[in-house]
Amino acid sequence: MRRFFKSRLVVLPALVVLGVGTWAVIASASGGKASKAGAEAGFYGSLRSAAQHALSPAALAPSDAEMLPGTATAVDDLGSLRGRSFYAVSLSDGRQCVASGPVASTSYRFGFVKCSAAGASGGALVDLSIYSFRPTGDVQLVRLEGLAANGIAAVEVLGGGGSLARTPVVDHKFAAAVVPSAPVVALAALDAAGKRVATVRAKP
Amino acid sequence: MKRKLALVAAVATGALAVWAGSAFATQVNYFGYNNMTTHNPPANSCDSRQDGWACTGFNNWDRSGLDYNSGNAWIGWGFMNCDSCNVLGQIKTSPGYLTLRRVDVPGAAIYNRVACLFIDDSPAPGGYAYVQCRAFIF
Repeated sequence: MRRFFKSRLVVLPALVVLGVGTWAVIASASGGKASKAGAEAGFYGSLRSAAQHALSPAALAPSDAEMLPGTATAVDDLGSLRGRSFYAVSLSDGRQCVASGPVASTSYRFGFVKCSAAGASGGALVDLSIYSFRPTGDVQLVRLEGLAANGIAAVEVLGGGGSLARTPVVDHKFAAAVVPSAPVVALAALDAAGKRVATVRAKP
Repeated sequence: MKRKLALVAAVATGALAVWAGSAFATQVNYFGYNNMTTHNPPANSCDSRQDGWACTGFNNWDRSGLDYNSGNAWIGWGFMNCDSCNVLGQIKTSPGYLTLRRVDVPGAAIYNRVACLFIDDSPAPGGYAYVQCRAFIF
């Protein structure tokens, strides 16, 4: 009887230590893949769940941190496409941002930062493209890129007469090597069947 | 005495570091927070431009920022290479915050003007956008 209790006294703490250790390993592995993955719903949550890895907000270069309208609490690297890198950033005030920049640059990560209004959940597309325009008149694409929600398979560039170009969405990212020279009026989000499920207007 | 001198040196070094850090970037809020409408800012606010335009003078601006706080108007924003050139940037249609780095904008000149402007053909033509337009030099 005494031996039974003695052996339990050794085995039970060992099991507890083993259990805690296993939990800690699982928690750290999942936390390192993407910050807060699974904790957020909607557009930004889906981006985070597809993140390649988390970056340390404290390790952002000063010129990147200054691009943000607040203090970053989480930065996720969403990977790259056609020479452009994409990021999701959470701010301490709860706002969500996305950013893009060149893969090749060693001096900065963020070239374009776009943050939602507080409480906004995001739509089908976040357009990080650059346009050339006047207050009235034609709008032309200079660079086409951005991020798309779950279920968006491609992005279509629409002109006044209809479709001008189409680019696939790869792991939530889209980026075109060349852009149409004709004036654009909108970007459309297409599902896997090619159906337009949302439109982001580039001009009124 | 030695301890006092060391303390003064440490304080001076710290102050210099803070100054250098804060002097790193220059931010100019060239419009707002204010309501941008079809008639505000008034004509000639951005040189001889029509009403609804706000801009900086020409300089080596490194970043252009727009804080669209509330409203329903469409606001164009970005960099301009010359007085009559197109704006290189985006048209923002709803509240949010944007920052664009000049070296990441294809075709944007080092010596440029930063502008934001009310889009006259907005879906809400009588509308407004409560914004602050910002220019930065790193």
